[in-house]
Amino acid sequence: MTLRKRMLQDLDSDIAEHIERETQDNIARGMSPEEARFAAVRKFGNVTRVKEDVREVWSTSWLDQMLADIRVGFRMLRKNPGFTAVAVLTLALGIGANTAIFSIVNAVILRPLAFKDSLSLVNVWGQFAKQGIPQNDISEPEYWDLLDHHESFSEIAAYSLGGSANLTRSDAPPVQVSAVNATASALPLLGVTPVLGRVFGPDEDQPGHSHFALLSYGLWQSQFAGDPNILSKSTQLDGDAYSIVGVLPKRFSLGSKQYDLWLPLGLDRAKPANRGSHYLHVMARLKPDVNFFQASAALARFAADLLRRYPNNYTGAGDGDFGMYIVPMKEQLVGKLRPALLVLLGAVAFVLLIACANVANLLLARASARGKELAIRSALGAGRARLVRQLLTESLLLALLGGLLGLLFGSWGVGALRALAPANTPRLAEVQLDFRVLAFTFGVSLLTGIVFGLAPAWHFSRTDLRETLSESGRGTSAAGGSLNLRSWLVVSEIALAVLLLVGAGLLIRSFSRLLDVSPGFQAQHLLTLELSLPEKAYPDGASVQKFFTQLMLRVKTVPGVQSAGSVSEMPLTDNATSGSVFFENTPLADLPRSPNIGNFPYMEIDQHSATPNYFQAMQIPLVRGRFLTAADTADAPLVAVVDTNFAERFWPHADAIGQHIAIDAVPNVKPLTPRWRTIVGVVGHVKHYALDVEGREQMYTPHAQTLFGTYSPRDMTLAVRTSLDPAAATSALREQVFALDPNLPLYNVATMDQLISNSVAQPRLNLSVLAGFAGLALLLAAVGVYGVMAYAVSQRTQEFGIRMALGASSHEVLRQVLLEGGRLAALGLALGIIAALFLTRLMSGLLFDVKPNDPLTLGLAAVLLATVALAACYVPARRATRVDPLAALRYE
Amino acid sequence: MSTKEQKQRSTRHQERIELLQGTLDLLILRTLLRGPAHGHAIAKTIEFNSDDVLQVEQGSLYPALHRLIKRRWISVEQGTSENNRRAKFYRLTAKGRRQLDIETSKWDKLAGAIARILRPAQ
Repeated sequence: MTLRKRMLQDLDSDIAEHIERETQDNIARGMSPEEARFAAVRKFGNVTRVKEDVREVWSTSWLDQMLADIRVGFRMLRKNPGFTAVAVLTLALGIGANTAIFSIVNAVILRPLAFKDSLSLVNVWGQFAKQGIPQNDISEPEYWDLLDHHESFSEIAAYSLGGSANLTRSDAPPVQVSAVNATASALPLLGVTPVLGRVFGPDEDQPGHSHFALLSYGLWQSQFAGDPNILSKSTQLDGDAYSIVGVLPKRFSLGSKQYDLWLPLGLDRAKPANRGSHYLHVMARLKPDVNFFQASAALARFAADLLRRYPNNYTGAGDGDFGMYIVPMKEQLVGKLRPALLVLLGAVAFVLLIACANVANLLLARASARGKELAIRSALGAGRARLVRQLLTESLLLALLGGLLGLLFGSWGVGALRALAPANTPRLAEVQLDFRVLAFTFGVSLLTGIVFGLAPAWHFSRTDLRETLSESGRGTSAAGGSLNLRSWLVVSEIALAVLLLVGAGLLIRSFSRLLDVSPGFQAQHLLTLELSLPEKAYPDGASVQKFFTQLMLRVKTVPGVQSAGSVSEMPLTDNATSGSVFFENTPLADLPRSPNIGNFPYMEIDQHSATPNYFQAMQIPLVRGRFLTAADTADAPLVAVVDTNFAERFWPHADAIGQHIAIDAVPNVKPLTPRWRTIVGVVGHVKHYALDVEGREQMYTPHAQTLFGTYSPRDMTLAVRTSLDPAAATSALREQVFALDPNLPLYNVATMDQLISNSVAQPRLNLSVLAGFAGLALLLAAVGVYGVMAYAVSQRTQEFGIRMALGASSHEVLRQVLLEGGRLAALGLALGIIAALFLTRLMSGLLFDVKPNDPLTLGLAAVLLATVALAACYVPARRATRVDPLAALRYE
Repeated sequence: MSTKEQKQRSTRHQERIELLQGTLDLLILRTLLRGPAHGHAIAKTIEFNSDDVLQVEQGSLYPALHRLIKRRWISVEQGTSENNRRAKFYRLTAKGRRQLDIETSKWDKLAGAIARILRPAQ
């Protein structure tokens, strides 16, 4: 037996012994036995406190006391299952929502990219700021120059996106697969090791010797059934045999999308493409001793040097227009998501604060009920600090239980968010409950417990315990006067709820504005399908153009098809091409000019290649002139159609029709001469990138008049206006394609309504999540108001009884209670609106066509909250009117 | 009694506890220097030797005794007292003896310093 145990065990008898001796002494001094005993006890002092103090001497650590507190805490919680359930559930909702949002923030923003030493990875970009190109890809010659001259990077790699290939096999229908074409250095730079096989060797990334492929894990599973012997096999891509050298890891992706295949880029240094042909994404790794700013400065010098060495290629640039810069790879990937995520994180923190306020209110109500218990314990010798610690322990227990359940809610929330989030959200697959999320949830739970636990502890430490003991425990008047702690909690709950309602309201208004935006075409009953002609079977422009001419004729004959056309880039599909458009004659004086091609002014314009009837199928309105027609063949005079933005910008005071523009040069003619074409029509502007993005000016050329070379529209998307069911229409269209070429898959089949819906998926997600939080906040605030008013009414039963006995009508009592509730609500509303005026500014980046201080939204939020708050007051108010005066007076 | 008065009283009480914290330990050690004693005897000795000036609640002796035992400054043994009753006898250990020296000289210094402040003329 330890000394501690022995000493504590004998403590009672030791004390009894002591008092007995003192009693004997007193008797010896002539006191009566009772007197002697009483004096001895009084002299000894508070036995309970002595015992507590002695125990405290021996308690080896705070851990012992804590364990004891926890045991008592659990007992208390078990004794009040209703209270415990409500408190834990409230907290779990708040903590769970926080866990879910933090999981996303953690995976998307906080965690480093899953690449080797990812903090030193950057993306390299060019820019022509004055021409409206803030972020431009890199051309092949620029890439070689970078490799030769750059001193800041230890590794550099390039890749091009948007590649696709027709995967054919003898035993299955052809499928279109997406591909990344990358230099052999790309995967080693990222530090990615294939799960099977190896990465490309430098000798496999050579012009004419690049028929090697790495499969994505997904493609390996879906098309090759996870065949472990895949490495010894080859596959047919666009009719060529490719050797499979490896399979990429399951989780690996360059960012928002997993590509089916990685293929070597096979750049030919001896015959580089045009310096002006910017199509490579370049990534690099900073040398260990070079920081971001040094590398940026060095790259700016590098760009200036290029400008000096090749003035003709960066013409019109001058004055620092051409530049190059780097962006940290993670920033590049997730930078755009940050504002929305931070707003959601802030909102969800407010939800938790409201939950805290509610639980604090519950605890306060219970603390008044427990006042006597605490007072008695205090009288028996428990120190005030000891009791406060006990109260805090109970709060922490509640919080941790809430946190545990919150973790469950959080993992459900993460699942829901993943399902709701747009498919192209970067790093979505990385979202998981990792140790950091667990630590966050634990920390938030502890903090929560302290925050809401402080209220009752503070309340208790200010209460006079003797009064608690002596009074009957039923306050008679809390009317009027200053607000008590509970009322302030409710006021702040309401204020926070208003804030969230305003935030959600703004997003709702913004979203409906967004959906009201006309995309510039008629989206209903429009089906889009993509088709890509492989180079092997369709080697030149003539064969491609012939195929599409035939196909469009066939599509027209399909029953139920009203009109059909095709275009090289369908709006709202993340598919766009822009390039220089040269002007023979424009009144604008400040355009850049190119000495390479007759010193004509030029500008970066979105370019589309379209077949006849594309505009009719999309129902893009004709403003002036004519649409493209079947008569605009390769041999006919060259024509173009431009949009209204184009016409108004370049000929603000003249007619665009009849003007000459060019997108390419006459082939095989030196010096370079623009291949002029005549503008024959002006059509409406189309929101090509997103409903809330105006986008560049647009120009359409007839597909039949497009020069095949640098820009080859082998990929076309059909726009088919039909009242048929999309699935039925798709299979009918597949038949037509099959009849022309059985090896061609139709892919990316979607209705335009789906495309529009996808394009607003991000704002819709923001909206749904924030609206969910606002709803939760409203509910919690209503519960809070109800709780406080119900408590206030129950405390004042007597008062109401007297009033009614003195002749107050139930109507007056009802009015009085509602007024008191209304006073809290009004104060909360005012504070909330003031806070909203300041805080919603932070979300202006998420808003479209709505000002952060939109009066309608503020007003509606206030009205909604006031209504809910008054409704929550109504039940207790009714109860007050039903007080039986006699019963109330006898209540004591 | 009004709230205000009660608050004052409780503060005064706390000050007294603080004052006694180390001092009581010292007194116990000093008392045990003369030989082992049981709890009640220690209390009586302190009261007697201080001419009843130090009106200590006798109970507060026990946390102090336990603290000294825990620090191994005193030891405890079971024994029987004069009238054949079971009792715990507390005995000063070697460690406690050393500690008493330290504490006493500390106390002397403190008392001297305070005395010089209170009666600077002498």
